[in-house]
Amino acid sequence: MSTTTPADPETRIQSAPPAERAVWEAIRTVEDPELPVSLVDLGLIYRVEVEDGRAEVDLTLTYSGCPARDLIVGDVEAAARSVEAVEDVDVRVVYSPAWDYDRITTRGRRDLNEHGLAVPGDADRPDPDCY
Amino acid sequence: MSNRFARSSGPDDAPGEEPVRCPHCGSLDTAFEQRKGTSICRVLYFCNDCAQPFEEFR
Repeated sequence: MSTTTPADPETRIQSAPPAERAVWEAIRTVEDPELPVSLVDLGLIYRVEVEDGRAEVDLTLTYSGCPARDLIVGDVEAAARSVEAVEDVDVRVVYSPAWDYDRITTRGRRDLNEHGLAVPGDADRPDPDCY
Repeated sequence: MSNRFARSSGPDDAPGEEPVRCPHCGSLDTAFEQRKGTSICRVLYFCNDCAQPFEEFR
C-alpha cells in the first residue's frame, strides 16, 4: 500500500493529451450508482490512455464485491465511447493499487458531506465552512 | 466453546476508533447506531449535537 497521498487527478487531467482529457471529462459525468459523486472524485479511475481511436481505462471499485460493478463499467464504457476521437473502449477493473479513502478528492468529500454522508478521515481534515 | 453461528465481530462490524464527524453540523459528538445503512457500503450514525441520523460511507 502506498504511504503517500495520491495526487489529485485534476493535475493529470489538465496535462493529458486532448483525446485523453476528453475521456476523463466524459467519465467525470459518471456517478457511482450508490453515491452522488463522480467516479473521478472518488479516485476510482486509475488510468486513461487513448491510442489510434482505442481508449483504455483502468478503474477500481471501493471493494471487490461491489454490486454496482457491471453498472459502473457499462457507464464508463458509454462515457468513453461518447468521445469523438474514440471508436473502441476497453475498461479493465483492477485492484492494485488498492483503493482507500485518501483517493477521494477534496471536492468528492465535500459532495459526499453535502449529501449527508460522512467519510472516514473527515475528522482529520478541516471542517468545511459551509454549514 | 465457540458458537459457530456467532456473528462476525470483525472490524467491519464495529465502529472505528476514530471520531466520526457529523456531515450536517460538523460535531464530533456522534455515536455508532448500526452497521446496516441504506446500502452495503454505508453504516448508520447519530449526531448527539444536532440530533440527526447520518450515514458514513465505508
